[in-house]
Amino acid sequence: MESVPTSYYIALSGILFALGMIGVLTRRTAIMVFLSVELMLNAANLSLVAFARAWGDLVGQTAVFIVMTLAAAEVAIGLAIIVAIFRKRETTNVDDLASLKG
Amino acid sequence: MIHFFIFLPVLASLLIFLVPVRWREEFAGAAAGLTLAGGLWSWSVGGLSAYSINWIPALGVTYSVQMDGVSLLLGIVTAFMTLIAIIYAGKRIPNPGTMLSLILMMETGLLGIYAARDLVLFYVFFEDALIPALLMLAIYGKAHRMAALIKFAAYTLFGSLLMLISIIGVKYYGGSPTFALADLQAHPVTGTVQTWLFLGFLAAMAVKLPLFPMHAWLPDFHAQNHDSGVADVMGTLYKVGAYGLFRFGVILFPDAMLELRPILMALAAFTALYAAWIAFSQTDWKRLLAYAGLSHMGLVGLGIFSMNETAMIGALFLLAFQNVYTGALFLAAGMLQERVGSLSTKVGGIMTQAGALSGLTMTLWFASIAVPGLAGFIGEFSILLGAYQVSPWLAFLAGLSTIAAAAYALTAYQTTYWQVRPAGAVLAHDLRDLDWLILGAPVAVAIFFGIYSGPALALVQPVVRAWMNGLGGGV
Amino acid sequence: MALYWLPLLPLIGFLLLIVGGRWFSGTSGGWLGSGFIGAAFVVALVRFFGLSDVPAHETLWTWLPNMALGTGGVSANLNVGFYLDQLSSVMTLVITGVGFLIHVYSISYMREDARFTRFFALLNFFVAMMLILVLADSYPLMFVGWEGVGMASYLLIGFWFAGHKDHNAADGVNNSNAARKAFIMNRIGDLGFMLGMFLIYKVFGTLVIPELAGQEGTLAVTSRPLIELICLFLLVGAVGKSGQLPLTTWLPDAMAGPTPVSALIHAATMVTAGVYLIARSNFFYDLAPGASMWVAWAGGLTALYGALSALNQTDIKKILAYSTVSQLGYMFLAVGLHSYTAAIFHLVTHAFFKALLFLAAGAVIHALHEEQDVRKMGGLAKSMPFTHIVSLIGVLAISGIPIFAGFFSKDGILASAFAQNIPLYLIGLFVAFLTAFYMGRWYFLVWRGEYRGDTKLHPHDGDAVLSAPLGILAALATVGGFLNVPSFLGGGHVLDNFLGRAIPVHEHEILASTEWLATLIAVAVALAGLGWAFYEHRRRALQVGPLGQFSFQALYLDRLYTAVVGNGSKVISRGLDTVDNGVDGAMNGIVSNVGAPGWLVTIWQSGFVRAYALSMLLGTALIVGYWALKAIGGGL
Repeated sequence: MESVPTSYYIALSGILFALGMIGVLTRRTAIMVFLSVELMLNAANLSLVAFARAWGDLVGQTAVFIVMTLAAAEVAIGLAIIVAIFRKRETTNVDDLASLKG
Repeated sequence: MIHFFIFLPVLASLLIFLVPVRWREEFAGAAAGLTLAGGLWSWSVGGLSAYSINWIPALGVTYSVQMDGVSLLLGIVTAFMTLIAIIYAGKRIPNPGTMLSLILMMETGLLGIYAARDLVLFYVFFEDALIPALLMLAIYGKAHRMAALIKFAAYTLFGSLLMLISIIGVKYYGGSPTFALADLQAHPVTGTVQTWLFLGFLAAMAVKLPLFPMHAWLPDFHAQNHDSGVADVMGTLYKVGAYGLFRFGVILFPDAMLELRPILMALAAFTALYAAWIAFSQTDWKRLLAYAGLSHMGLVGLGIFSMNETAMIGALFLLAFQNVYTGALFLAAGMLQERVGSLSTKVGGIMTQAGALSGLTMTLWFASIAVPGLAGFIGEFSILLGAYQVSPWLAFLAGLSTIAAAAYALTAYQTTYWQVRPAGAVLAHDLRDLDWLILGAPVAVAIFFGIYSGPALALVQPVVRAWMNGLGGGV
Repeated sequence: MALYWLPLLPLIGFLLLIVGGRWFSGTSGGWLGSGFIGAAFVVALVRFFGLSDVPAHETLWTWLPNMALGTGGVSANLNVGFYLDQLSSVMTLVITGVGFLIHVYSISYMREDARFTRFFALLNFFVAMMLILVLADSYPLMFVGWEGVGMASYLLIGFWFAGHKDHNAADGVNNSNAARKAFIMNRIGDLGFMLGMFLIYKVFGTLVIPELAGQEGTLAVTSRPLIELICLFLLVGAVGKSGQLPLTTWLPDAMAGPTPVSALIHAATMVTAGVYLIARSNFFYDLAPGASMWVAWAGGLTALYGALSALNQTDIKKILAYSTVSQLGYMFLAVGLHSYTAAIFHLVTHAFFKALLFLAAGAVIHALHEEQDVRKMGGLAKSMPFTHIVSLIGVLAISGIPIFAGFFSKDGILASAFAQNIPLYLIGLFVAFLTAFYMGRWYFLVWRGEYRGDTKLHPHDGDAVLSAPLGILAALATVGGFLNVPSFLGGGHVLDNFLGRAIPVHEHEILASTEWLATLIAVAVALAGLGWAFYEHRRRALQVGPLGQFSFQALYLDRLYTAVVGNGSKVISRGLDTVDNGVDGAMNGIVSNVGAPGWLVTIWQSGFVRAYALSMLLGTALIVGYWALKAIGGGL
């Protein structure tokens, strides 16, 4: 079976990453920002797996597993924070949450 | 054993949160008592010898500790006053777990400062003691505590930063392999560089001495701390600048200290008189005690800076024992506040109702204004005598502070404890149960070492002699 | 008996009475306190009879660093040590002997006070400190006693700190102020004493008195100005403790304390410590003619000042207080002229007759229910015959009427002044005249004439406990002078010879006929003074007019000090307080200027999450871009 070239994976990863970044920068809802961050994480995962396959090395795969477990934990905490903020402020609009202004 | 002595309090400060709430006072007291016992045991075996091990080899940082006579005396006094402070905190502050933990944490920092024989380690303990002090003020302070806290932190951190630079500089310019004192001593820095590095080191020590004009944090720090005076006891213990100058300054920067001696002595003598004179017009016991302490520290500084053996012995003696009576006076002020709800010096007539409290407070004040036969005198007399050998006029200037001390202490005492209790004022009850121990033990110490000073002198004198001979003793 | 028993016994008494005040009910605490002083007196007697020509020197434990001489010129640590020679032995006898009598007197006098036991604790503490002062073998240890008696004096002047009996607020403030003033003015003197010690140490390397006295070789070659300076410093200390000019104004105020305190501390013992200090330091003063002249003039002028101030006082104790100032001036005059033995002789007789006068005044005050104004007394001789007789003895003794104690001791001082310094002699003679006058006035106003006070009172003599000490002191004031009868009167200078074994006696060559003449003049002057007092005050109480006011206000010295020094230091203190806030402000100013650019950076910290994300992106892009360029450009 002809394998897909690594560069394709990297390109896809780049596109996903860019989409995620645009989402982070443009969306105002905390949930959407959060989803975009997840997208960026997975873009990075994709490139790690792709390189791992290209080099025939398991280190990249291992890293992905660690990132995935961490991401799961992060999702749990992040969502909890968002819920807590919503309860307190009745909004998830990140532009309204600027009380840490220096 | 030395590690046990240093780190037992911090261990207890963490474990205290695992202890049920109603046993926390007893737990903290036991930990502080055990530390004090450790200190006394070390005294009985003649000090704890040096221990050194690499800590961060890449940077040349070592973990070097030692408890020689001077460290031991200051360490035991610290452990003693910590125990007293903990007893009063447990009695006075409701649900005191956090306070007790902070006190114990601070004790480790202070003991570490006295034990450290490595400049970076010294710096670490120096900053380590700062954090609990800040937290005490932040958590238990009064209305304007944030301003006081920022001032305190700003002064201290500013000084520490300069000290850190000069610590690095000492190693760099001297070419020493590690930051251990013994190594630094073997690779001395000379010439102008030494003077500049000393000034950096001095910045931190002048804040912590404190020395005019770096003292402005002190009155606010004390005035804004908790009414009980517990945090003030720890704050008093934290005035370690003179110790740092003795332990590191004399060894590492001898030429610079000699070169700057007239200026520094003048500054210290001025601090002593200036603070005593200001204390005269204070109407809040804590501010008064802050300035009184500042005045004592001016004398301690005079002793250290004069580079005279007798004066230096006196300075370390005074440094150790002023902790006892100044600290106890802060607690006495706390007891006064507990009874009449005010720290004002115009309360009046307390002695007609609370005789024992007034009597013990008076004894502590007499110790504080250096009445002979009490511990304060030996220190002040030796300092002034030694300083006179170097500079008669500056000794005279500092000596004037003994007159001013009598004026401010007796004036404030009179308007608080003597004269007549105003009609309708609350009835001040006398000492009860543990109060006797809290004030009585420091009074006993002040009297005992004022009369029979031999044991304490035996701790200090050999170290100072060795230090003055430039050999560094048993480093 | 070891010497440390002397201060230790009263100290034990003090500890027992202060710690266990509640265990002693009634007057038992007073008897216990008196018992300890009595025991100390016995010890002092035993040691007195055991004295030899070699002084006893007993050292105890290490105390101060580096302040003594060790072997081979290395400085050694100073020990606590006691030293007994003829001089200190006489002092211990006076202190414990007169002290014991005053203790016993106090049992009756203070009986109704709520803090009876506390009073005896403090009295015992005072005696212990006074004994340390005279027994000390080194200046720092003497300083312990020196400040210790100051502390005891502070506590006892302020004994009625909340007002006497009825807790009178103004009274309490007055008493407290008097106590504080005494302590602070003493501190000024103490600084002088300390500076003296520092200089002694600088020159001789030790502060142990026998070691210093033994350094005849070093003393002889030490430069004179240094010795003079040492003596002047010590003089400042002595002046403070003994209430001499210019540090004299605390002593009359000290009469705020209970009368036994005035008798014991502010007449018989503590205030003579300055005289003792100079007599003890005779090896310095003998080499310092300049400083000695200062001592003599300070004494002469103070004698005059005290006498002038005493002329027109209205308080029965204040008259005696100024008289004490004046008599201490005599003693200073004598030590300044190197007549140490004459000064010590007068110190001893003065302790007898002045304690007697104070205790008699106390009996009067007691009988008149705290009345102290002589204008409201008079004619008490009828109702208090015993007290009247002993008072009369006291007045005759202090006025210098022959056979009474004051005659011999004052005559000794005047004779040595006559031989050395005629202006000082004339001052002394004039003061003798004034002394006879104001003591006569005191006597006539209190005891003679008609009773002018509250007629509801029925004054009478005190009980036996109160009267016995008066009787003993009256006997001593009568015969005390025979301790030291001069040779032209057929005596043998017993006290001079005894003290001469410890301190130098400088003989003066005066013809016996001249000495007779001088003595007759002195007696005539004293009789004239008494006669004038009789003429003036048989009927009248007070001099009015500017001169009278000048005397009543004690030459306005106190007002001057309050205005200049007291208020001045308060103003400076407030000023410095403001300055200190200014220092704080200046520091804050520096900090805020340094911190100003920090506000620019805070604009960046907008608080918007997306702005931070953008910053991160740009930052990452910059770093990546830099590396990319570097890779492409091959290390541009």
